[in-house]
Amino acid sequence: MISLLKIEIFKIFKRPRTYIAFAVIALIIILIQVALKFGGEEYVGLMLSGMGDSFEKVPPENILNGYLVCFIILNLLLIHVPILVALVAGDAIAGEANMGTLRLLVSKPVSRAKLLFVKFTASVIYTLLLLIWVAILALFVSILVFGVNWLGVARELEFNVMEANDVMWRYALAFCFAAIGLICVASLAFMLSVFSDNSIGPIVATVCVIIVFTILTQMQIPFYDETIKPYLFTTHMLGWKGFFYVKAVDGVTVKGSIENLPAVLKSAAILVLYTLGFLGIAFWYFNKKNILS
Amino acid sequence: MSSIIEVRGLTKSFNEITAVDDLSFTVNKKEVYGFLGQNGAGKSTTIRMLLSLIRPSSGNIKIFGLDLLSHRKKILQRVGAIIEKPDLYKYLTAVENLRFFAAMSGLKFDRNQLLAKLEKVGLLERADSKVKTYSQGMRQRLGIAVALVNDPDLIILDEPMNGLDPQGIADVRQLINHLSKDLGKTVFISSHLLTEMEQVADSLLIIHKGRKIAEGNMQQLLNPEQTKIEVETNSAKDLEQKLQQTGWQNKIISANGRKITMQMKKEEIPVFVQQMSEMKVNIYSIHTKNSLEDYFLSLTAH
Repeated sequence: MISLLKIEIFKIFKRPRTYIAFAVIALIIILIQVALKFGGEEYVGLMLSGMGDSFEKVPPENILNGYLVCFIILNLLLIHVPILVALVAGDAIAGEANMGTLRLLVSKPVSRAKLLFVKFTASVIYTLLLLIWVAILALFVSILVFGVNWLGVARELEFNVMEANDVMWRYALAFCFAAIGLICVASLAFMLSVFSDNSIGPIVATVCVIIVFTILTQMQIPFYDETIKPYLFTTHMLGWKGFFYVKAVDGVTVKGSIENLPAVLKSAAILVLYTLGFLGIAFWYFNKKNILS
Repeated sequence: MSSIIEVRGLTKSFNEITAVDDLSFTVNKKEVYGFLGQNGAGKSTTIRMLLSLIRPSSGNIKIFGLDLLSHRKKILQRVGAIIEKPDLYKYLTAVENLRFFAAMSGLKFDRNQLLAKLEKVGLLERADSKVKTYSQGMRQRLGIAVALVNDPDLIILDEPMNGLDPQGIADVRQLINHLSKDLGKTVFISSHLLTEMEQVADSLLIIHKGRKIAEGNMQQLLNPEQTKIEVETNSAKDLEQKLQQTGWQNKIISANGRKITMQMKKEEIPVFVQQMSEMKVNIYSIHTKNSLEDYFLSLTAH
């Protein structure tokens, strides 16, 4: 099992397309960091414009620090990383069928379930490496460039403030949550990959699902709030933000608090259920699939 | 002789279409078993069922005396295969491909062992080149190395000579003979190259529209009574007249231009040649045309 997994990962990283995702992420994050380095004060001003005069006397450099930059990057990026995850997970089985190697793999003395498990695990490892890459660039490089200070997170009607020493654990949990979300996307692309003999199909289909679901998630129409949004996995992928929404007593943040932990956990559980559902369908179908390609 | 493959009543339907219909055959140990059929006859479907790529609609497959469905892993550990063209990982080298497929069979080889396996198929010098830089013939040879990486007892080759040049075809033919005659392997081979099949196969199975239409060893199938010869002379018409005088006229099938086609017993051929020589008939060439191709076409004509 381990040797098969090693080779599967080796195969993923032997393909140039794998590095495109890492390069794209690096490019986007660096562009955001450069923009905030040179035009960050204006951005912060815009962010605080609706907050009254509470933050007028706060020096912008205190607000614009590595923690906030990371939060801004994640806000912009975590909705697009799934597309990059789909590139590899959507190719996992369909790509083999397309190359004509699937029939060779399935004719080897390895059960189809084991083959699928190894392939999915390799996709998950790729997804996690991609997320670690995001963490290194978005969090650690931002801390190096912008330093650390308290983190202020603007919400619709309030502004949550966390002390500098109350932030890192939130990021650790947020990245873990993001991992659950991205693995859910990987399992969707993987499931579609099992149904197809051409990798373009599952990749495009996954991207389309994410785009449509994300539009529905962000649509401010009350009718959808209760009928559709609670059932979309893209809605729950935003659950990582919950770690940065804090409880406050008399306007003062309760250190180490999370405003609605059950909601965050519920979102994580729903993502896990989606993942299991997608994988269940993938295993069921692949086990009985006639390999004709 | 013990049987390696036993297929009974194998049927596969895709919706309304029956690709393989009630097929039964037995492949014996150390035998080169040829599997013939036109395109779409059901050859690839049958081979895919033998490798558990496709589930049969009905019927039973036993390999090494074990039921394929319930002992899949155990059986496939002793099987090597090329299915249609050997599509390998083009972005990996030959060594990397071989290492990967060995691992799929639960085997681990060091680099020197892998190089030795590549040397056997003549790819040692290109062992570290990416497969995308290989010619079709080289890919075919690498496919054979992959099929043999687990030292299988049964080798299943689906159209192994496809896309090969004459030298490549001769190499594959030699390899099949080596595997069967020297190493005692059982080879199940499908091919549409009938002349090649004629040269390598001990037994044959011919299917048409998914059904078996003939089975047996090569000698049984190619009846010496049916030997055809093609004689090249100055004028087929002149030769035809001379043959009428000597009693060979009822052996004539056709006469066109300089060529005349006849059918006779194999042992009659030297008698015929001697008589023509005594009659001072100018004969430029004689070819036996009693081939698998004729037999195959006669079976599948309707």
